[in-house]
Amino acid sequence: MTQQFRTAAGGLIDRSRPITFQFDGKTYQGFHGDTLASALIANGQHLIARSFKYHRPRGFMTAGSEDPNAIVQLRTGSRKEPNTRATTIELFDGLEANSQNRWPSLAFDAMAINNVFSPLLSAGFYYKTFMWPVSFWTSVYEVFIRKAAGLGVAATEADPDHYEQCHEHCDLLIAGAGPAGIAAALAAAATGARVVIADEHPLIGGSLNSERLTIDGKSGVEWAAEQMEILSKMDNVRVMTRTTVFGYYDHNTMAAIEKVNDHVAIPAAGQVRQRMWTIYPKRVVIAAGATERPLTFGNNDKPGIMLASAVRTYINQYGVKPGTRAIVTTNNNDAYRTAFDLHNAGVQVLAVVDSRPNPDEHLAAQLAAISIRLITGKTVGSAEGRQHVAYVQLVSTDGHTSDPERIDCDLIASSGGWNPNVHLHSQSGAKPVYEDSIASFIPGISRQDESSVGAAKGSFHLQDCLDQGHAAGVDAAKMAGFKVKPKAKKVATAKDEGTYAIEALWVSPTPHNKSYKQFIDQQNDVKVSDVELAAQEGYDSVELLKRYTTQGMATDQGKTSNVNALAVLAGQRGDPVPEVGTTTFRPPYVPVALGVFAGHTVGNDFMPIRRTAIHDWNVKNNAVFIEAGLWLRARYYPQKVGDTLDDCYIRETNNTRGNVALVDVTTLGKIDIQGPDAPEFLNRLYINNWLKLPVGRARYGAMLREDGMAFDDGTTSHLSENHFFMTTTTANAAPVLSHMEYYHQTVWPELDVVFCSVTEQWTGIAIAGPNSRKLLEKVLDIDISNEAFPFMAVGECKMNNITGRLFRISFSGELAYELNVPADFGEQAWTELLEAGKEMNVSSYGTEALGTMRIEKGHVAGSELDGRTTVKDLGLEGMANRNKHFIGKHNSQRPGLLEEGRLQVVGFKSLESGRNLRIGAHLVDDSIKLDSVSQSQGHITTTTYSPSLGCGIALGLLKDGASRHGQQIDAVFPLDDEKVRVEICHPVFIDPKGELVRA
Amino acid sequence: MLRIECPWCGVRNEDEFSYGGDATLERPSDDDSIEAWSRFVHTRKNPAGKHTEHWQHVNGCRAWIVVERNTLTHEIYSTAPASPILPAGKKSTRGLNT
Amino acid sequence: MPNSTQTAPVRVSPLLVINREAIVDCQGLRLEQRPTLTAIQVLAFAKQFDGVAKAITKALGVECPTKPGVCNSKDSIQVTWTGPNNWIVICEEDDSLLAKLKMAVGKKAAVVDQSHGRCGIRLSGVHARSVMAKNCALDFHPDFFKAGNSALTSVAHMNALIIQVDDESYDLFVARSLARSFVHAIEHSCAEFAKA
Repeated sequence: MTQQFRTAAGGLIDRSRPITFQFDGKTYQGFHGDTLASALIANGQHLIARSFKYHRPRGFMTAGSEDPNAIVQLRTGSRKEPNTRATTIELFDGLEANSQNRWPSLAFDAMAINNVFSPLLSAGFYYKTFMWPVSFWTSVYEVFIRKAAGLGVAATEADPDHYEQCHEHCDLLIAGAGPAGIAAALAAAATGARVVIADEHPLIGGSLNSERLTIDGKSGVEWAAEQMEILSKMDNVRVMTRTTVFGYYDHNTMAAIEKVNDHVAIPAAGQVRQRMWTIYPKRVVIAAGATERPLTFGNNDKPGIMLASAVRTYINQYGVKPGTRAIVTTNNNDAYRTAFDLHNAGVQVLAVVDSRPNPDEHLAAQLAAISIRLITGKTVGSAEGRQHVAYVQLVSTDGHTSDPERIDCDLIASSGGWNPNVHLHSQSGAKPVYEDSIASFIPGISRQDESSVGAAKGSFHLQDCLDQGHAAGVDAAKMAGFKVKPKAKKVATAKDEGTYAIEALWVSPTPHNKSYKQFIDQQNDVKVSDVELAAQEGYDSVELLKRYTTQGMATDQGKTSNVNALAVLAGQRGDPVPEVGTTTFRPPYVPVALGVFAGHTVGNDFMPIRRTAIHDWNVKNNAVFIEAGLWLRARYYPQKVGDTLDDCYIRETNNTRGNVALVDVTTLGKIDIQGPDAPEFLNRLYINNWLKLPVGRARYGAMLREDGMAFDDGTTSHLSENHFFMTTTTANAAPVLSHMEYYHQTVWPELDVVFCSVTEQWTGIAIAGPNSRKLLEKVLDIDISNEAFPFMAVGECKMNNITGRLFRISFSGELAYELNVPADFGEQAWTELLEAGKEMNVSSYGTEALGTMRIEKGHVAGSELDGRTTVKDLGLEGMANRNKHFIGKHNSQRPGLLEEGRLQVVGFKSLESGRNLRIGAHLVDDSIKLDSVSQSQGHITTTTYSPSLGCGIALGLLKDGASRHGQQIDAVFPLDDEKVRVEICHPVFIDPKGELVRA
Repeated sequence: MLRIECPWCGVRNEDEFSYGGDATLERPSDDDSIEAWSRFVHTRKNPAGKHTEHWQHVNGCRAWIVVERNTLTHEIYSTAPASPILPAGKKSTRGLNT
Repeated sequence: MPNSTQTAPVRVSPLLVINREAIVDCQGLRLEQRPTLTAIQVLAFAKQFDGVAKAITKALGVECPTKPGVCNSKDSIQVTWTGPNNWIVICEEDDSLLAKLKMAVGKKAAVVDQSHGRCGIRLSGVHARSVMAKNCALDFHPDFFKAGNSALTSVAHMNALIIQVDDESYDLFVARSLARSFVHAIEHSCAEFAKA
């Protein structure tokens, strides 16, 4: 094809740079500067898509991001991108696009049969049709809906491109770089204020690029280019093209999407495809322009029917003719420009059809001067033709529809008026208000630091746009504290383009008053009759209408259709439009790819990873890792190919219980506490006594939340006078620190104590097992005999010149120590311990064996401290000293927490040989009723196979469990139809007197 | 995204802070009844409008602060240090949203 | 008891596995690990804030900042405000600093060694500010953040201490355990400047 619909000259395309591209497998040519839409129109290709529900042929309605129809599948392979607007895709060499939602082809779509059965697909048809039988849901309905209402197809491979996020601060953010936005930027920037001006197009200028306007004696295009030059050279201005401000959030936090490399086939190495900006402006000027709305007539969705302004854009900006014989239909003055521009481009204008009986005389005279027929008091009643408009039938707006005039044409330029883009204003929390003079909504009272200017405020006169932009720029600079010189640069002067006037026409009469499909929301196939039906069925509030009909809920968010739908609803209710109100606009203003929200944080970078100093050793020694919060911990260490989890943790447990082994406990929270009131502070944090802990000793402590529930446990050591060292569980390291800070800063500021996290400073290594002392004696410089360093002793030590701290504490129930060394020496200390213990077959163990041994010892942990258990439930009540004050003391004594029937921690032994227990299994007396979870007596919280006992054991929470040791019960897991008979026992399975740890 | 002014660090994004609840409650004493303590933990006004609350600048200087915030509009009227003894926190009354 | 002929231990940085000369080195951008550091946190007890600041100033010869967001430095020592009652003193490895600070503040403050718990990297070059803007919500415009300014904030979703060293350089300190993830994230956002 040879672009036979190009104008002879003009437009902002570069005719010296042809571009080859494909649509639906067919090769076309366009020019640099085209959109996919303009290039297809240049080649006479108007059929771009099939509609969502009825599969009706659709063409380009607009030339911008508001288009409801021109949705295509862009690119292929891993960069495949469904539901992309052809009207916003900048053409690049090798571009491949395909139509979607059609089968087998765009021209012949078998699903168009829906068009015939459309009465079945009216408003609320999902709710009415797909109700029952339930079994049809997955077998019939879902399959049908997915096939019929399919949009594009997402890529199945991972997106290879980079997306990222960025932050920017400024005094003034201007959304939209049309004449008003440019004027605001110039005025504010001249004062020295920091200005960001963003526009979704590759060029700044907005309507100046698509209209024939004159500013300061220059063409609008020239003027815009000059201002771009000026602004981009200023240090205090950031001009962001291809950037849409899409969200207005609390406290003037703005979100924008920059399409950095969407206009090339593949971004260059290292370059990002799209960038998400979070912008923090002191003030926002919304210069987002206005969106034209179409007239609503029969078959108003046919290819060849376009917004009047879009026709001008295609002619003026892209140098393409959207048709050869045109009708302009309007209810306002603005569309007359389309007739002039079409005429100027050599397109035959058959008539301007103005629904108003008395149009503007000046415009009428201008039409007459170029011999264009003006028809007044009439409007298009219907458009006819198969896959493209072939003729129109005109009807009188006074209701006289019985003798429609037929005019053959291939282009209808339609204008129902202009809607200011109040989206960002509405997102900011403000309420747009209805303005009669333009028959649309304009911004209301501001709720945040923003103002709208120009067309976004409902001012469609170019000089007004420039004036308002300038004033808003000056105001913003003043508010940010900048001085405006008295001789501030004078605002630019525009050539007068006449005034805007409109008489609303919401729905056209149809020829012979016959029933026609009159579309409002073309993307979701919502018709006038759907809105009427919804109102009749009682869905007559705007919010209900939206949900019932899906009006405005497609990817265009009803930009061209919402006001029309409101007006139809108002007509049905017999109310004026403002009484119906408008829905709240929500971000994003344009569709934004999820990938750009994620930025770099995808795949392995989804969350940061915390690694201990032993991590590299663990990797080298084939550790299998487990996530614990952000930490990666070694779970177990396979020794040979085929080693299973069970093989490993049983071996590791046995070597600990029978010999000696090391585990990395770096992840425990560590808090350094100092000050004269440190003991008193600990005494209030913990339920037990802390005032008399001698220096050189550690103590186990439990703390509660203010509501009396158990919060965390750990040991705290008295290192030297008024200097303590607390450990917390891995999971609660951060919450415990915040908890302490809260009480210190807001409740007990009188306590003279300071503390900080030292979790990162120390590598923690537990050395456990009957031979642990023997091993440590080889490497430490201090006397660690039982007499010199008894259970719960703490002291400083040196190991091969590494100064560390030694704690005689035990989680495994064996004779054990914990050694803390500065983290940069962590791996060295670890490997030296392994080396020293080589002759005694020391090994490492992971969290799985650690867990096994803690269950065997009945130590409660996170799965029992679930936020609902008290220390009494956990069997730790004996620790509490109720003669002093501590956090949670009173609330832990609420009557409900002391009554019988509480879930209490107990142990369980599997009575069925070879069968282990399941976490989450319910404990029931009568397991015949497997579904009777309501009769659950409690649940299993943590389980393991105990190598020491030779059977499956568990801890769990059981109703009145403390008094039920020795009884039997069933642990059931109904999901898998599982049942195991267990014996209830004391939670400490081995060495109940704790002799081993004291040996 | 709220923008909260830490009295020490200046205006920061909400995600640097964690919420700590009503800052106007008076903590009962050890002699008070279980009922009083239960009310202290569980009974809340949930006002639609001005609310005085604790936040912690947990990803910053770790100070606990008192924020006066409108629960309907998210307007923040003031922020101030929670601790009466920590030095050099300057009370902020700058409206972020006026 | 072990024999005492062992050699002095060697500090191993958490960035060992990416221990290159510089992590990123291209036109206008450099990312490198700071050499092994000594980092000491000083926390003033009640009503001792000013006294501790004076003591630190006297002991180190660097004005200890009493205002938030300030880092004063001299030679290799950086003294930074890190909270309403505390500072962190960072310098190239110096085993005597801990004792020196303890001596200086006496019973007015707690002195806590964090040397092994922090990892320092330096980002410098004309693009450094752009890389910072990708990872941090603060305003790094020179009117608001310049050499001698510091901030505790979120960088690449991780808690960090930022110190601006000169017009084009930032020191970033993060928790040891996060060091590799942190450097990986910063490296990633340098990619667009690392033209082949």
